[in-house]
Amino acid sequence: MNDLLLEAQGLRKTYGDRVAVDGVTFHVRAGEAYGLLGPNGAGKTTTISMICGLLARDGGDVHIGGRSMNGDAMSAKELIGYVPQDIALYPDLSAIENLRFWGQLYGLGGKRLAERCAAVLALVGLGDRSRDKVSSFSGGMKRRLNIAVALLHEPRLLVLDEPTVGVDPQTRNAIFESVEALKHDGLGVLYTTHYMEEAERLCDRIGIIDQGKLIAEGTRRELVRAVGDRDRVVIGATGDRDALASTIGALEGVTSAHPSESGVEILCRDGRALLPRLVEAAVRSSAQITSVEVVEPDLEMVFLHLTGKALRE
Amino acid sequence: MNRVIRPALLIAVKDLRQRMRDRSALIVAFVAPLGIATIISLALGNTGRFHATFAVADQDGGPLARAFVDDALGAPALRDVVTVREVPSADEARALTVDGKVSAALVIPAGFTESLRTGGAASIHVLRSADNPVSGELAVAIATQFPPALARLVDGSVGVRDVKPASYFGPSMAIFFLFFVVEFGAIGILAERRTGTLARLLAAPISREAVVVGKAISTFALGALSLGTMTVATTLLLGASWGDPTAVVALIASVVLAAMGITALTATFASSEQSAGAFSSIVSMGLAMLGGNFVPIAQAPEIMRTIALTTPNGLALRGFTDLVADGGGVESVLPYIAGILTFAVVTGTLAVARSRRLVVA
Repeated sequence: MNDLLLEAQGLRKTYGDRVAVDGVTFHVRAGEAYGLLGPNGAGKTTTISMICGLLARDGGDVHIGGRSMNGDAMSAKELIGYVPQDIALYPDLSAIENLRFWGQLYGLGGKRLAERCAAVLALVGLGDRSRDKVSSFSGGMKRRLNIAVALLHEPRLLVLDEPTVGVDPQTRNAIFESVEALKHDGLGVLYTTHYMEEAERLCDRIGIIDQGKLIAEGTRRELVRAVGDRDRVVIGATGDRDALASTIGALEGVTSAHPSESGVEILCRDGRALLPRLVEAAVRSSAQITSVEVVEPDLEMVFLHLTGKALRE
Repeated sequence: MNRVIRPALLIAVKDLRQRMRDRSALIVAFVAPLGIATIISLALGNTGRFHATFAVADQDGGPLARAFVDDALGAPALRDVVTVREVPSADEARALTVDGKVSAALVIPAGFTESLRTGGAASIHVLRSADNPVSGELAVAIATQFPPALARLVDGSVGVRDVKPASYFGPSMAIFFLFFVVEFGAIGILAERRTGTLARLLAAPISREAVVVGKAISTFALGALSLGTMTVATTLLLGASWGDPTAVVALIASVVLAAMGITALTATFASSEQSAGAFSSIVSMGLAMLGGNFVPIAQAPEIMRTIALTTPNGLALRGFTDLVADGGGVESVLPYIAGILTFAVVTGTLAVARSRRLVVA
């Protein structure tokens, strides 16, 4: 097990009576991308803040590359490349000045610092803008530079906290490609997101976190299999969606039915066979049907199955 | 140590680079204090020292009345402080006072000399203006001390000590703006927290103390640079005197440390840059008003002069004016430096103790 880059064991964080993170345990291997998937406020950022040493833990242990964050925190931090959710750059400094500053903080200097700055600028496609102030960059360019800073010192574990929030599709794809390339080069990647599609595309293994607890973990296939042979049926509807969900929920073969913003989300066995009865029930109710869709099993369904609510609620 | 000093220096250099590119910071640190000191100095000109004009109506005309005008009001000690304007009647003296054309009026009634010769009671009437209470007090003091003694100034520091306006308002404005210059250190931590760079700093393999020390180094450097620039600029441009260079450096260093401690402690009670800036402004303005940054404290009532010496602003200003007026060296301002450093140590210690709640991601 010497390829273990991150071992998080029983992480716990409380704020007064509120438990933000409750006994979270997982690990990340070299060359593996691990996704922490959960809705906003689930405890993802708190978890990685404890892993990166930003936040004191109330319980649990963290080891990075075998180095304990308890006894050898500085040494452990050297192995981490941290990409915060915010664009953590100095806008009044140029790209190269930002990179030099952060690189020097990680002990780089001289020729090696210059080489690494050039390398990461090339990696994120900003080589020709290195002398420009960050304040003159577009949002996407700032996001890319934000990642470049974390890669300067050649970390072994890259921690990205929702790096695609608020970015355009082109930048999002660029970030995906960078992460995939880094993973291919042997980096361990810890990636938090509340976008199911990102977790499915990028992550080899996924931990689903909700209300501070890691409620499921595995590959996408393993997680979907855990739901069994259930289907997710999404009925778009206007009107009394609560009543519609209640009516459908009472049907035989329906595991659960929850009102959503645009209709009702249903978890059931053999969705296609059940579809006529679902529509009939919907017609009987006062709601007006606008669409019906049977969705193949996915992480959204897993989350719905495990928590009884949609991922983005 | 390598986890503290080296990153602290890197953070300090980065901060200074940012500040030097911030036009508003340069204005507060260099342009504003010099500009306002220049305006005040030019506006006051040679009248920056206390000066009063007294209207005198001599209705007695006797030798003792003449002696009061020539010897008491015209005493050598008052030559640069008091100008006497003799008028023919009490009504005219009153009118000049009401119109603000003189600082106060003294009316010597008929029979004044005769009354004193025969051992009787004699009085001089003083007409004071509410707009000029200090001059009124001076007129009363001179009148009540005649005879037999010649008049003396109530407060020697007002008129006897020769401190040019530029020599007072140079340090005065520099100290006032210093608080706004150094507040960026503590507020900068809040700004870094808001933008996420503090989280990134804390994720780096450096100690948490490095962030605080780095901010302190850059803050001290900029504060000292601001005061040092004011020293040179007011000397060259306004002809200000600052006194013994070693003592000036010691006073500058101590007052910068005190300002840093006070603004840092203030910031620890704030939850955002805006509230920290507001708290800091209130404290800075309060200390400036109490410390005599806006009005020469020597012209204020006794209680205000005492209160001024309980503020770092007042102690520093007193130290700077003492250096100019008395020509002493660093030993002459050691008591002031000790007082200022007490502020620095107490507020700085409390600020560091409370910084744990500030330096968090």
